[in-house]
Amino acid sequence: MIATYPWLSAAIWIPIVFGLFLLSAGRDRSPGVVRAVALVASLIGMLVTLPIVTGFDVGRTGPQFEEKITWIDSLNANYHLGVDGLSIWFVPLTAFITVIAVLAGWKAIGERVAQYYASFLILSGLLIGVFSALDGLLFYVFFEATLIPMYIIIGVWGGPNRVYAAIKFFLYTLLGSLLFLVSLVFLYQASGGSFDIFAWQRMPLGLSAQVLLFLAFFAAFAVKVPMWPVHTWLPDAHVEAPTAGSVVLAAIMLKLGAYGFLRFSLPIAPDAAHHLAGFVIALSLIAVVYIGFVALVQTDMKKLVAYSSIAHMGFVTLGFFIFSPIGMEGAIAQMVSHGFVSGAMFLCIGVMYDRTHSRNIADYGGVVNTMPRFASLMMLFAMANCGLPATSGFVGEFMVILGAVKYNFWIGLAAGSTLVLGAAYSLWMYKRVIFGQVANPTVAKLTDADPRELLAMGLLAAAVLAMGLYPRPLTDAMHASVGQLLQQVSHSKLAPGL
Amino acid sequence: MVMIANYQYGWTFFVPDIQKTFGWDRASIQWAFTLFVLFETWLVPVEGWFVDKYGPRLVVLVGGILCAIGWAINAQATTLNGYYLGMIIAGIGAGGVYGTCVGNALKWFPDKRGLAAGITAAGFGAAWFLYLGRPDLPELIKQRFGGLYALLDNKYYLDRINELVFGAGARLIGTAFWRGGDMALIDGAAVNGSARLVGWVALLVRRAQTGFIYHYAFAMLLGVGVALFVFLTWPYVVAAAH
Amino acid sequence: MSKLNFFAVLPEAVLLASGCLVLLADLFVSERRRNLSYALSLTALAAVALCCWRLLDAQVVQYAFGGMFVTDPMAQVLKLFACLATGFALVYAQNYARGRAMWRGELFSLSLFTLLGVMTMISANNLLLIYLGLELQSLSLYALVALRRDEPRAGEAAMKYFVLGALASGFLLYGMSMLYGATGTLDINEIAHRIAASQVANRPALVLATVFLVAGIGFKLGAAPFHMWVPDVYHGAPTPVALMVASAPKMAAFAVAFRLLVEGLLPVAGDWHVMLLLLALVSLAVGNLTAVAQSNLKRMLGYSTVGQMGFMLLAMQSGVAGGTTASTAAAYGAAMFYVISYSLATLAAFGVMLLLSRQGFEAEEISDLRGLFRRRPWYAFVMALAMFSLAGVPPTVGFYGKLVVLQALLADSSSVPVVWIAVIAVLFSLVGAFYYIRVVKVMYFEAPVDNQPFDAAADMKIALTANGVALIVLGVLPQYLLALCSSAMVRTLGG
Repeated sequence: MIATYPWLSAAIWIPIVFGLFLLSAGRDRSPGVVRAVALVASLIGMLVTLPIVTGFDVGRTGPQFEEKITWIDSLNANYHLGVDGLSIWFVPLTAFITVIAVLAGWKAIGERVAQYYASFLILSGLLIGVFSALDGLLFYVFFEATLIPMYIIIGVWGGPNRVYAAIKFFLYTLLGSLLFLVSLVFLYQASGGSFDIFAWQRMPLGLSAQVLLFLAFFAAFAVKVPMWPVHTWLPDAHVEAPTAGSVVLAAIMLKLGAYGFLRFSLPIAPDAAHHLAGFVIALSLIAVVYIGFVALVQTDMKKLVAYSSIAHMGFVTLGFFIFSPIGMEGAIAQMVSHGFVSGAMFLCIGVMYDRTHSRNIADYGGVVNTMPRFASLMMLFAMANCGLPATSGFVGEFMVILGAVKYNFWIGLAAGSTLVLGAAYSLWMYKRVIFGQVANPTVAKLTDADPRELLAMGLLAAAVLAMGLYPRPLTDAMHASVGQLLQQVSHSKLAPGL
Repeated sequence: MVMIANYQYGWTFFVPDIQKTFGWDRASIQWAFTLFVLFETWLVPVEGWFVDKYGPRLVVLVGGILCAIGWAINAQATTLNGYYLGMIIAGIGAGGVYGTCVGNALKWFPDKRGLAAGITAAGFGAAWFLYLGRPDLPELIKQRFGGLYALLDNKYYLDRINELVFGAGARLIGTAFWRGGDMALIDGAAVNGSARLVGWVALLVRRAQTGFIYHYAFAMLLGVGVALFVFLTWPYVVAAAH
Repeated sequence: MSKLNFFAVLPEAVLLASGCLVLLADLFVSERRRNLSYALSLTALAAVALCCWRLLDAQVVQYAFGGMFVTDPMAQVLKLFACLATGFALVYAQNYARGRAMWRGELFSLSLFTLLGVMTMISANNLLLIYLGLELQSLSLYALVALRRDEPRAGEAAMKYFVLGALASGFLLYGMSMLYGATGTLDINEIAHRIAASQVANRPALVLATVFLVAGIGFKLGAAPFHMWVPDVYHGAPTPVALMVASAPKMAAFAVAFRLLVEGLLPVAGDWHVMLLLLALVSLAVGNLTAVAQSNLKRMLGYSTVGQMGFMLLAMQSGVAGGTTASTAAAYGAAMFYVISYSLATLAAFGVMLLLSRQGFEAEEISDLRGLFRRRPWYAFVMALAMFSLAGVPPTVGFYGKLVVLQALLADSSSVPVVWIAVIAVLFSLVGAFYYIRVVKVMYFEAPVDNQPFDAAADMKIALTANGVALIVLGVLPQYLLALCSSAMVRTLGG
């Protein structure tokens, strides 16, 4: 369905243009103006995604709001954008999280403010580009290009060990992506010279080719998700990144990997997906259980939430590979919910960090006495992190556990352990930080969240509750496309008799 | 029975303090007690009927809850009417408990009804006895039956088992996974290890660049020599293999 | 074919005349008015570029000087970019050269003669003309490297370049003589014709000739194991001269490889493509690994050139053995795009280095770039773009270079295990990415140590800005350059 107005292009390029404009502002002459412009830009970016959401037709399976113009003629690569049920919710999610990210860095960043906000705006446009790209080369360009702003954000405005974290993040994700590039070129050759993802999905492939492709895709997406055992870049990156960087990294960039599974691995290599499903499920369960235990013993709040992110994303990959509608819809719902919840958790930690410059749980205790409003909002987010019903965290987890139990009781049981582990680490951290008596003079001097922080947290709380209480619009939008994807996955690409 | 007894037998101990705090006269305060007894005794037939319909368990439960609510209201009350209300509610609850418990004892021990009823009622007295009559006795019991007391007091140590086995155990597993798995194995060996390997190989390869022209020239000649050897003899090797 | 066809050699003629003119004019110009020679050189380069553009537009394949000289679209594209590279190198050289008594007529005229040698090599259709162009280019470059007489490192670099270059020229000449002996002709088209018609009885002589020719080409490209001059010369030579060594001669080497191997020795492709593959793999390994251990930026860029040329050689060995004209054209079009994008990035990287150099201060260590983001964010950004382009990260133009080379490699229908080679190539690219982002790290993540303000002439700043913008604009809209390269190659091979 070709779009009447290029809303997707607008959603991509408006933030990028604003970002480039801010880059040219150069030095820190008027940071207040820069912040205001950045906020306006992010709000416009959010507004532009609204017609996409309201105009989305839930019944159809093909891409909507499509735009296609010839890009690189000699390579047959096109500027082909579109959203379907799988990708629709990530576009407004990205725009929304960008607004939150702009609000988050308001007071904390004092130098090179223009470049800081420019990086976020450019990153936002590129992320929307990834979710809406329907051409393999375009997808890859956007996918890789997101590395540069995030590398700069972590490395310039990050914590004391930021250089190690930034380089680790860059090289780890680049390794997977380069192998992904080889597979893209292979698909180009095999399809007779086309970069169209849908053409690749229809194209027949032998089993060995499928397995190699699946593994190449897996290399890229497993690192991005991140899956165990290629997850170790995430705790470092999250801990060292500035608050807004962590928010965007957790809320959106992890979803790039999971989205890649949906768009590439499953439809292009369905037989390989079935063959290797056990392997992926095993890794997902290890992520849920193992990482759950690791999260329990963390003393740094951000590292704890980072590990909890990995565990939550383990649910997502589990949901994909049990090949049932409820599992897949639950996984996608979990992706959206995790965007809100982990973004909110990092925001909360950032609010406290802005005041005390410490992320150690031991340095806190009894925050509720001095920051009651903040504590109540953080309670909601901690609960959502555990998967409490009526919050968005419950929707995805419950659907995936249901699907997993139907698939295999023991897998469901292992997956269900997250209900215990998740509650353990989230609530224990919350209790040690928030509840109790005021533990030290730093906590005694804390001021409650100011209106800007309350606004950001309030918006996220509204989103968490809305999705938790009435997730129907979310799952309805994905229904048709998930059905189509499952159909694609269930049809073997091998010729009969092979 | 033990728990509700103090409404009946311990009330007198609260009265002087209430009078001192609020300055009401004794008569008005004691009306609360009167209300308690009235509601306790007169509603017992109704509660008996409930026992026959719903069973003793429910009635005693509700009675206990009402007593608890009564205590709570009494604790917060600052007006006489507050106390009256608290004692009314407590009365209803206490009546339910007393009547049901005694009646139950009679049903369970039909051939020793008197003894059963007496022991049940003694529960009332036992409470008064241990809390107000001889308050030193509970301490002696604790000393004589220390182990039994500790077991009951710590709720059969289930909480401690939880803390030690599940809690500390989970933390142990977590630390093992984190330090052993993540930090040592994955980060240490694979990630940082491969980076160190590349660095080490780089330093090794760098040594080849000695700075001497004749070394460089020799490398070029060696390259040409090897290529000549390989490409001139290769067809013969292939032919011989076939 | 026997015609003189002066029209075809118009760019070279203009260049020769300008070179001589600049040399003479500079004698009569005083120190203060030196910019006149500079302006004259730049005008000459612009004129030459214009002539190349006219010839490219005409899309003709013409022969001159009795078939010794060929002008085809590929040649014109490469010459255009070689002119651009030399022009930019001169513009960037100002800061550095002025502070070190290098800003003299010799710099300009030698640069112009280097370019003349490059252009001759690109357009040569005859073995001797290739050698002539090679020598003209090499000797001019040797002199340029040694231009700073009093700097011992420059003298050492010049000595190494000269001696090893002489050795490589010797290899090339020996190969050419073997080839002449085997085929009986010096004309490349005729050589191809005779080999294809099986008129060459002495097969081993042909293989011998190929080995020596590949060795000579390998030296010029900077491919391992003929690469050992590269880091020393890049390090020792004055920085603008290192830039000149890095940019235009690589294009000439590519063109010579094309002429000799593809146009001349295509029937023997089964042999030389394996040679190129081996050169590629060793270059990737040596170049990328050694660069990791470097702390001097010029030396690092030298090793990175070895790695980049290794990657380009992967395309140059594809599509030739058992392939069609179309596949060869696609592969070499990819390699051509790669060498052009590599030159653009190298120009920008050296440009920023030259911007930071001033009298008495050589900005050649990586640590000299520390905190550039805080000092002059725009130039830090240009340098970052150059580094990301060399690493092959989108959305810079270098990414498309890597993409089309991988495409050419995977489209190869010879018996080589292309998928595994592609995997090895990208793994070495990953190692390469490390030292490129290390430079970005030093600029962005570290605090500046040297806070001295620096400035440069307006034209240099404009050129550097344009260079940086080109890297990203071509990264977002690469279609024109890609189409230019592929169509030029198709026309050249077909015509």
